[in-house]
Amino acid sequence: MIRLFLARAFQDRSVWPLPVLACTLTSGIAFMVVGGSRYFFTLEHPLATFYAVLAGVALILLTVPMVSLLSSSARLMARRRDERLSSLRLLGATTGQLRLLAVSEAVLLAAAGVLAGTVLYVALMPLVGLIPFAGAPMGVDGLWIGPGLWGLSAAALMLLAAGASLLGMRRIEVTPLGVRTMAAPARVHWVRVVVAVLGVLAAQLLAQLAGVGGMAAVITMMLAAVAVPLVVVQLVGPWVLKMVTTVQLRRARTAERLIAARSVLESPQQMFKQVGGVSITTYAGVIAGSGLGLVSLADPSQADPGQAQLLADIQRGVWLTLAISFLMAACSVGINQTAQLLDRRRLYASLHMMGMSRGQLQRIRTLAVMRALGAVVVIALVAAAVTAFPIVGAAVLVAPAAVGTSLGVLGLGVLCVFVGAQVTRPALRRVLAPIG
Amino acid sequence: MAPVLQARELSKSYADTLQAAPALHGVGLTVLPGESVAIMGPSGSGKTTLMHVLSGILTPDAGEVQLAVGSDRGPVALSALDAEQRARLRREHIGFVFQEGLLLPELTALENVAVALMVSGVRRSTAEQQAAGWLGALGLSGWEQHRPGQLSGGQAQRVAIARAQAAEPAVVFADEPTGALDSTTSEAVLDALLDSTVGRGAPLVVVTHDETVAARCARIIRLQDGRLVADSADGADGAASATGERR
Repeated sequence: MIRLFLARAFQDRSVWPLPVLACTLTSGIAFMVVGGSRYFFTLEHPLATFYAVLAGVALILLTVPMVSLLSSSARLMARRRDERLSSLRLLGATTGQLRLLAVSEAVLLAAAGVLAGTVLYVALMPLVGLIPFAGAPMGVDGLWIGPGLWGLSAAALMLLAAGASLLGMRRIEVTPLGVRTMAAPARVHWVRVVVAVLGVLAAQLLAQLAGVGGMAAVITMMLAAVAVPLVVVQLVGPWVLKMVTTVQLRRARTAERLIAARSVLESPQQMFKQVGGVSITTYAGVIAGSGLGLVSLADPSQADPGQAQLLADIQRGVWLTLAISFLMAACSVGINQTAQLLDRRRLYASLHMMGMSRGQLQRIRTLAVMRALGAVVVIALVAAAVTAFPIVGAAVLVAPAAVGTSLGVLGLGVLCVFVGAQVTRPALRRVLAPIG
Repeated sequence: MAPVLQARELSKSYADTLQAAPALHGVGLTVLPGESVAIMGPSGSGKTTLMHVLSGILTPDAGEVQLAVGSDRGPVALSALDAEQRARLRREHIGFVFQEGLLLPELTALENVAVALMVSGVRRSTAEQQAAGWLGALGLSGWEQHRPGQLSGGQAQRVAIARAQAAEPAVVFADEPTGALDSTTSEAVLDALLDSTVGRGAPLVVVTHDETVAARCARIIRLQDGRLVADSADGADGAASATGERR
C-alpha cells in the first residue's frame, strides 16, 4: 500500500509541485547559510575567532526565519494529501497506517526538494561567492559544504519534514468523508505579555547577580542580550499583531481591508510565523547598524586598516543577514499564500463570480501580508530603540546616514516580501480562469 | 411586462474538453420580473453553463444576453461589456447563492453580508445597517456576530441568501441552493429564497436536480445535451418548444 500511495504522490499535480518547490527554496537557502557559516568557522585569519563568533550570532538570528520557512514547507506537504488519506480511510486503513503513509510521503517529497535545492545551491554559489569577507571573495570553494555536512543538513531537513508531518497528523482527524481539523486555532492571550515582561526582568536580575562574577557576568549579559529579545519578540509579537489588527479591523472602510484584517485575526500566530522571522534580524540589524554608524565616525586617518576592514565586514554581514531573513520571509509568504489560495479555490472562485475583481482579491491577500509585516517591523524597531536607546538615539543624531542606510536595507527587505506576496498572482489567475 | 433577462440563440463550447457536443446549443430564454424559474436536466446537460452565461460569468460563443438594470430598466447587452464591466454588473445587479453557501469563514454573518455592499463602494456603517436588516428579515436576528462555522447549515445558507439580496439585485441566481441540506431545512431555506427575491419583484433562477425544489418555482425549463427541450411556460412540460428562440 505504501508503494502504491507513494507512486501516486508524483502523479497528481495538485499534490507535489508546491511542496517540492517550497522544499527546494528552503533547502537551497539552508545549504547556502550552512556553507556561509562553515566558511567563517574555518577561516584562516588573525581575527578568525571573532569572525566565527559573529557568524555564530548571525546563524542564531537566522534560525528563527529558517525554522519558520522549513515549517511552512512541511505543513504544506501535510495539507496536500487530505483527499487521498480519506479515500484510504474509506478502504479501512488504520490511523497508524495513515501516519506511516503521510510521513513516508513527506520524506519522499522533501528528498525531491532537497535534491533540487542542492542544484539551486550549487547554481548560486558562483554569484554568492563574489561577496568579499576578510579581504577576499568567499569563492565557490569557501561556500561548498562538502558531502558530510551536506548529508547531515539533508537528513535534518527530511527529519524536520517527517516531524512536521507527524505533528500535522495529530491535529487532524481523517474520516472516510474527509479530513477535518480537530481543534480551533490557538488563541493569542495577553498572558504572553506578562511572561515576556517577567522574562526581561529575570534576565536583568540574572545579569545583576552575575555582575560579581567577572567573565560569567559578561557571558550572561551577552546571552541575555541575544536570547531575551529573541524570545520576547517571538512571544509578544503575535499578541501585538492581534492588537494592531483589531484596531485596523475597527477602522476598515473597504471590503478588502475588512477581509484582510479578519484573515490576520483568524490566526495571528500563523501570520506571525510567515513574516515574524524578520523581527529578530531587524532588531539586531538596527542596533548593529547604529553601533557601526557611530564607530565609523572616528577619524579615518587614525584607523587601523585591519579594523576598518573588520567594520566593513560586520556591516556587510549585518546587511547580508537581514537580506537572507527577508528572502526567507518572502519565500514563506509565497508558499503559504499560494497554499491558502489553492485550499480555498472554490471560495475565491465564488467571490469572483459575485463580482469581486481579480485585483480586489489580490489586494486582500497583499494587504493581509504587508500589514502584518509592517506590524512586525515596527515591533522590532521599537524593541531595538527601547533596549538600545543610547546607541540608536545617538546614531540618529550624529550618524543619520548610517541609520538611513539601515532603514533603506529594511525597505528593500519589505519590498522583497511584497514581491513574495505577488508570486501568488499566477495561481490566482489559474483559480479564476474558468470564470473569465 | 418588460423582461428582466432575455437570452437569444446561446451557444457555448469548451475548447479544453474532449466533449464532442457543445455545452449549450441555440438556447433562448426570457425571464419576467418576479418570476421564479427552475433549470433542470441531467448532469452535463448544460444547466450550470447556462446559469454562468446568463449571469455574465462566461461569454457565449454565439447569441446574446440582455439584462434590464437600473432605475430606467434599460437592457444591457452582456456581450458588449469587458470582463471588468461584467464583474461590476454582477457586483451591483446580480445576486448569487451557491450550494455550500461559500461564506468567508473568518468573517461574521453580518460582515459576510455587508461585504457584498462594501465591494460596490457602500460605506461600512450603511452596509452593516442594511445587512442587519436583511439578516433580521431572514430570521437571523441575534446571530449577526456569529461565524459561519458556528451556524447550522440552514442558517449559513440564509446568510448566503441575505448576502445575495443585500444589493437588491435585478436578478438572483441560485445553484443547487438546498443541495447540502435535509428536507425540512431545505423547505425553509427555499421559502426564504423565494420570499426575499420574488417577494420584492425580482426574478429568481434556480439550477437544481431536485424535483421538489423545481416544483416550488413558477416555471420549469429542462435542458438535455445543451439544448432546451421543455419549458413549462409553454403549457406542456416535456415537449420541445417550437419558438425561434429554442430548439
